[in-house]
Formats: sequence, structure tokens, C-alpha cells
Amino acid sequence: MFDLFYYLIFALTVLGAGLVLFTRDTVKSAMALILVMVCLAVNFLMMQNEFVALIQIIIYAGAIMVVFLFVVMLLNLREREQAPWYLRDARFWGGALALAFFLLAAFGVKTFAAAQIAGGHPIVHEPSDVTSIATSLVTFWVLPFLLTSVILLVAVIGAVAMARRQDEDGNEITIDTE
Amino acid sequence: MSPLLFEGNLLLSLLLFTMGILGVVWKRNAIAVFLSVELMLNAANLAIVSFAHAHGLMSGGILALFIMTVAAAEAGVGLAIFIALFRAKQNIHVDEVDLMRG
Amino acid sequence: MAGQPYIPVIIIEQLAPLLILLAGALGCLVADAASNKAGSRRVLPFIAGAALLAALATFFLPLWPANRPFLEGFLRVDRFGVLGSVTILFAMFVMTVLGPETVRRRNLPSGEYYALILFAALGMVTLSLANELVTAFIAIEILSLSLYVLTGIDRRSARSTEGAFKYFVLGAFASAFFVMGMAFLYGATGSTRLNDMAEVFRTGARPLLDGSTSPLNAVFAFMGFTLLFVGISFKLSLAPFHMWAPDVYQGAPTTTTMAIATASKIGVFALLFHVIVTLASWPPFYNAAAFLLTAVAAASIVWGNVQALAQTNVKRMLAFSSIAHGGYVMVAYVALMSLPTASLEALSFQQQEIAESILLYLFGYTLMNVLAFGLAHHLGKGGEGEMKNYRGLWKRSPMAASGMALALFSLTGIPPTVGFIGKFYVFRHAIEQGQYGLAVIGVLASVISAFYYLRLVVTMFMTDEEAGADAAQLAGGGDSAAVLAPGTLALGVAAGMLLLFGVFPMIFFVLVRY
Repeated sequence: MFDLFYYLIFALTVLGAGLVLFTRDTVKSAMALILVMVCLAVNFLMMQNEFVALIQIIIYAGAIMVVFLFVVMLLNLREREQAPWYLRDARFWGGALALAFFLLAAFGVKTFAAAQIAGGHPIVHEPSDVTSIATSLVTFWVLPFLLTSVILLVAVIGAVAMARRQDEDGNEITIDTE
Repeated sequence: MSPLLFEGNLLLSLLLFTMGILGVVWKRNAIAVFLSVELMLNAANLAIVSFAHAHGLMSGGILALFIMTVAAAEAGVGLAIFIALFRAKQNIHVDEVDLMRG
Repeated sequence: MAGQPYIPVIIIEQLAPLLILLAGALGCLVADAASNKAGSRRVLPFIAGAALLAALATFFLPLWPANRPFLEGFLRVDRFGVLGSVTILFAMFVMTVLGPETVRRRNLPSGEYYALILFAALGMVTLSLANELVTAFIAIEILSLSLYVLTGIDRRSARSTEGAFKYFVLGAFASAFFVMGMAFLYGATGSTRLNDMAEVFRTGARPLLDGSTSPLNAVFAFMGFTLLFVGISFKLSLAPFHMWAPDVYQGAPTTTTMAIATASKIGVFALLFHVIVTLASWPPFYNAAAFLLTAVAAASIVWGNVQALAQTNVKRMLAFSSIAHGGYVMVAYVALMSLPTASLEALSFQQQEIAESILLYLFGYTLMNVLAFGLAHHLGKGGEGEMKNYRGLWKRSPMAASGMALALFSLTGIPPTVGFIGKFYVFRHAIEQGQYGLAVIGVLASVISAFYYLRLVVTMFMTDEEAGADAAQLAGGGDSAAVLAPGTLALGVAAGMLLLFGVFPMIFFVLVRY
């Protein structure tokens, strides 16, 4: 039963990723990516990692994707007709390289993953509930935790600097396209 | 943890990562390209959480949290850059951004 | 860990450089918000410069346990970190000194501009001190996000925005590779701290929570390093992951280009050094991964130099030149890979020698690029890039022309400059470690590179009546001396050090070992 459910989620995730890849409409692409994220959240739950499942839904599907959709709709972009990808050399070779990477890596993982799991004996789990993660975050992981506050500040300043319409003197910014 | 879950998740993670690379290479619309990058980051998160679960480690969740935070910051700046570019050119197709050549 | 909360030891002085930079950045933002007229914004570059110098000064204080990780093993101050940070802060200081001119010329928002310079410096310094991969990742992102915005901050120029766009798209792509590499290294070793990872690589067994061990999974470790290295190569603009560099270098304001070419790379090179030294504890590491670095080094040297031959824009030419120089540094990294690490706390003598050579190279590389981009910046908006504007520069501004010539000689690697010494040591290490092929490619490519560097020198010294009135007002005389004085001084210091360390490289090694 568990296995069946897992295969279902697996298939749904791949389907979502395929839709991200092959849909022309960016809004539909974004929706498909949300599907992938929700499936991954279910996957995290199956690994008894409810904290990550939670933030996957709240931060990724909830916050980041909403910003994406907002920008897509703000810019109201239309994808134009284009030559099929396999006619464009660089893209074809890029795709071929990526597939070669996948096959090699998948072969490596498939062959050697079993050795990763400790020789049959049961694995001891550290507690991974929200409380212990939170405690660890402000004790052991305090430095990266502080640095994330800096990066969020940089993001706020940067986004304001890039998206403003007026300069410091209040003049409209006109763009010189040369 | 069942070996199925571990191997399956690693394969799924590699598959998503490769599809992300393909998206970056194939897509023309910058936002779609960036969506593919998000797909790659999700793949990395899946790999981290699966490894952590296979080892019984707690730190996987923390790494995933940090990566998501950084992804959020990146999305904020990136989308602002896209808006700025859109104001300058009225489109954000990656292969039409070509003022500079050489 | 449950029950009794565990309290980490944080010694606040040990974070001094980071906190000073953060305080400076916040100070800039507050001062900008508090100033109501343009005149009072003049204080901003002084705040930023003071913060950079104060952070630089902290590296000369004995605040840190020598070469030992601190703050739960997240940071480590070793020789590479200290010297890398000092060089980074010097480059960012020059950028700040040239800042008022950039801000005035392009009418940029000054509060954001200086704050982002300081944030970028914070990211770079953290990166060069990082002893843990997540910290390194966040630091890379801090510096990258700051530099994306500093590239595109000139909203009036479509090229600037376009440069930011390309930098961002490929930078985000690179970050994804970095994260995936981190995931697999974490999977192989069960930790992201370099010290723990080195221990696992050395013993070949990963401790489990129940006290037993499981063998190191070589496939995961190799995949992890490969993906991490691809991400790092993008950030270092090494071939074949360099496609963003020329457009970004050309489109960005010249002072930002200077930071991208010098300071941002030093931080990433420091991280690469720490990662390679860590993985060198793993006996099969050299055989498994050497071909990656060798291929990237050779490709960067050849492709960078060949492409640079065809450029007519000086900033683009310097972009390809910096790709080639990245390749020369990678030669030293290949040599470093072949040496096994006994312990991260006590690197072997040869490893330290190579580290010093890399540092000397990077230091010299920073000096010459700071000089070259700083002078290109001096030549004025619109005249920064095109090579024809450099015609007859010697007639109009002998100081600028001779400074530029010095930088170009050094980039070529002609003897009395630090560029020659840097290349000499790098190739010597390559030969000592048996990398004859790379050494030969490097020397031959250096000879080719002389062509395009010296072509620019000849252009500058050529007397040309057709230089034209428009070019004449671009260079030298156009700017008021008072504004440029601190900038000239800073560039003069760079030029002086370029010659000093070129003639007396031993001074550098003595200083490094203080």
C-alpha cells in the first residue's frame, strides 16, 4: 500500500515537472511547479519530516510561487512561436549533455545507493520535530541563521533599487537603449 | 526506511534536476527559465532530505530551510531585475537580450 | 540536545570584521534616509570607506585561534582566509573611493550603492573564512545578489540592466549546481562542516548515530564534488562556464566590473581551496577528479586568450583576459590536488607553498585589474570601453597611459611586475607536481596573450592626429582634479605595490608568514 502510494506520488511529481518543461504558457508552468512542490511535500511527509513538508508548502508553494505568478501576470508575457528545440544546435547539445548526465548519475546511484544504507541494522534517528530543529537553529546553526537575515536585507534593498521608477531627485527614470 | 524510498527519491531528485537543466536550456521566457532553476533547487532539497532521513540526521531539515530562504531572496531580486529589463525592452526573452556582442 | 538546551560559545570579537561591515552598511542606509539634500549624502563614501578599512585592520589583530575552526566549526581563519580577505577589502575600498564619481556620473541612488558594496564585501569575507558549506552558500548568495544589483543599478542604461539580467540568470543556474553538489557531499559524509568531511574522507568511513560506521560512498562524493565544482566554475567564469562574463563586464558600471573581476573571484577561490584541501584527505581524490580541473584550466587558458584576440572593446578584452587568468590559477589548483592532506589544521609544507603562490597570484591579479579597470573608469563615461578611445592617450594623459601600460605589462607577465612572479610560481608548482602539459599550454598562451595586451599599449602610445575632439574630452582633463584625487592616490598605491612585489616577491612571502 505504502509502495503503491509512493509510486503514485513519484509519477505525479514527474508529470508536474514535465508540464513545467513542455507548457508554453508561463502561468500554467508555474501551476505545474506548484504541483511538483506539493508532491514533494507529501514525499517529505512520507519520510516523517513534517517540518520540511510544512515549510515547503508555506514558503515555496505559498510565498515564492505567488510572487512568480504576480510578476508573470504583471508583465503579461506572451510566448511567441519558435523553431522546435531540436532544430537549434546549442539547445540540442545542451539537452543531450543533460540527459547524459542523468543517465550516468542514475546508473551510479542505482548501483551504489544500497551500500549507503547501513548494513541492514536499524538506523537511529535524531529527533526532527519542530522544537529540536528550532533549538538547533539558534544554537548550533546560529551563524548561517544570522547570515540569512543579512541576505533577506540585501534582497529587500536590491529589489527596491532595481524596480524603482524614480531616482533620488524624484525624476522619472527614462531608459537609454542606445 | 525502505530502500525503495531512498533509491526512488534519489532517482526522482536526479530526474527533476535534469529536467530543470533542460528547462534552463530550452525555455526562452526568462521567468520560465527561472522556474526551471527553482525546479533544480527543489531537486536538491529532495536529495538533502532523503540523505538526512537515510542517515537519521536532523540537519537535513535545517539545510532545506536555509536553501528555501536563499531561494526566496534570490526570487525577490531576480523578479525585480526582470521587471527592470521588461521596462527597458518590453520583453524578457533570453535570446533577444543582445545589445552586446563580440 | 533536547531537554537541556545547548548553548554555543560565541566570542563577539571573532566576528568583528563581519559586524563592522554590517554596521557600515546599515549606517549608510540610515545616513541616506536621514539626509534630505544631495550635499549631505557626501558623507556616505566616508562611512563605507571607514568600515572597509576598519574591517581590514581587524585582520591584523590576533583575534582568532590560528588555523583552528571556531564558532562550532563554521568559520576558520587561516592564512588563505586572512590574505584573501585583506585583498578583497582593498579592492572594495578602491571601488568605494571611485564611488562618488560613478554615482555622480550615472546618477545612482547613493545609499543603496554604498550599502550594497559593503554587503558584497561582507559576503566575500565570510566566504573566504567559511569552513562549512551552507555558510559558504549563503555567503556566495549575499555577494552575488549584491553584485547583480550593483551591475544593474544604472537603470538608465539598457546595457547595465541587460548585464544584470544575464548575470542573474546564469548565477542562479550556478547556485542550483552548487546546492546539488552540497547535497551529494552531505549524503556522502553526513555533514557539511569541512572538518567533519575531512575526517570521513581520511578514514573512509562515516560514523553513524548508533556508534557503528558505514563505508564512504565514492560515487556520491565524486558527484558532489563535480556538481559543486561546476557551480564554482560558473562563479569564477571559467571556460566552458564563462558565457556570462563578457556581457556582464561590458554592461556593468566599470567600478562594479572591477569588483566582479577581482574581489568576488578571490572569495570563491578561497572556498575552492578549502574544499580541495578537504577532499584531498581522500586517497583516490586526485585520480577521480583531476581531469575535471585540468580540462577546465586548459579550456579557460586557451579559450580566454583566443577570444581576447578578437575584441575591440577594452572591458570585453579584460573579461576574456580574466577568464584566462582564472585558468592560470586553476593550474596551481591542479598541482594542489595531487598532494594528500594529513590534517586540515596542519597542511603539509608543499601545500602551504602552493597556497602562498595562489595568494600571490590572486593578490597581483587584483592589483593589476584594479589598476586597469580604475583607469578605464577614469577615461569617462562612453569612453570606457571602445579601444579607439585609447588612441594617443599618452599625449593627453601620460599618467593614465603609463599606469594602464603597467597594468597590461603585468597582465602579460613581463618581468619587473607581479604578474610575472605570480605566473612563475604557478608554473613552477605545476612542473614540480608533474603537470608538464598544463605548464606548456600556459606558457604558450601567455605568449599569445602578449599580442592583444601590447596591441592596446601600442594604441595608447601611438600618436594619432585623428583621435578626434570627442575622444580628447573623454580622457584626463574632463574631470575635476579634486574629485579624482583620492582615486588617483588609491590607484597609485596599487601601481606601486604592483612594482614593489614584482621586484621583491620575497617581501610578500615574509608578510604572509608574519
